[in-house]
Amino acid sequence: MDKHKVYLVSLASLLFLIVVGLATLKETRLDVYVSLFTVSYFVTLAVFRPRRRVSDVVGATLFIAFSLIVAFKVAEILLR
Amino acid sequence: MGFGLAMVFFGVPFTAFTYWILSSVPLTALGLACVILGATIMITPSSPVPKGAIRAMVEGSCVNVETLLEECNVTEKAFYLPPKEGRVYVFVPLRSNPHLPDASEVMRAPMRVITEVRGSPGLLIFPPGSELTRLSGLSSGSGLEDALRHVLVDFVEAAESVKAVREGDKVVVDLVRPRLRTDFPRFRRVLGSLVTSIAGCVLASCLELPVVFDEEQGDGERVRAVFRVIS
Repeated sequence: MDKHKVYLVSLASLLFLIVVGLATLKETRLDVYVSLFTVSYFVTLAVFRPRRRVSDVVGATLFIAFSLIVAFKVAEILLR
Repeated sequence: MGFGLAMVFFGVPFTAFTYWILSSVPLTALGLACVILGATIMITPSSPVPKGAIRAMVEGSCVNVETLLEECNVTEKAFYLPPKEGRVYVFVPLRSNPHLPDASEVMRAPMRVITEVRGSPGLLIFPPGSELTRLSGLSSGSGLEDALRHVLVDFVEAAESVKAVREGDKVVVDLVRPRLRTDFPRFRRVLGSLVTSIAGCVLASCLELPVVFDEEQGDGERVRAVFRVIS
């Protein structure tokens, strides 16, 4: 199979497994889901290194979201 | 592209609906996953390069080089020169010379088809791998193996994997399952097979020193090429 198809199938499988896995564990924090989505996105990106039509806006958005989640968590701990 | 767009169009309202109306985090996450996947599909080209056509064009570009080498009856091994204006050139001596010229001499060779180094005539050829190396956007600080993998495996998809080892002045490049064919005997003898020639261009570009194609061994599954770095 073409490398890009394997990449998309792997990413879809990982995202689906994260949702099913965390839902089974009754996880109700959305930031946990988003953090794991970000990790799985960058892991598949590093493994398959797909080409892009345009700059990686998805990666940038996920990275910003992940950074904000971490920043809020750190602030929460420091201000406690 | 259309499927990705459909996933994003489904995912966005689904996420909003499940978050604010249903207050279900797992379903919201599912909607977000749809958006991420849809957007990823949209920015990932379904057929990034028509591989067959590109490979045929690259293979076809060897014909001119082969003709020139045949015409000049060249038998000496090629020197891959570091990029000048972003392009790697190949110097091929027309006469046998047991003493290799040093790097600065080769790099100072006048830019003509028939040129000379230390009074010894040679051809200055523009190999097919030169433009591929330039277009791949190879970064200057890349390691040898990373650079070879970037160009040969990721950019041209000319081999399944590649390994490179530098031992003193020799660089051994091991290519697994090369996908480009070279049916040009003179080209193979002087510059190596097409994948080896591309590897030579990458090495010259990466090391910023001339490299000489030394030898090549291989079956259909693997190709092992040896280059010598001139400093």
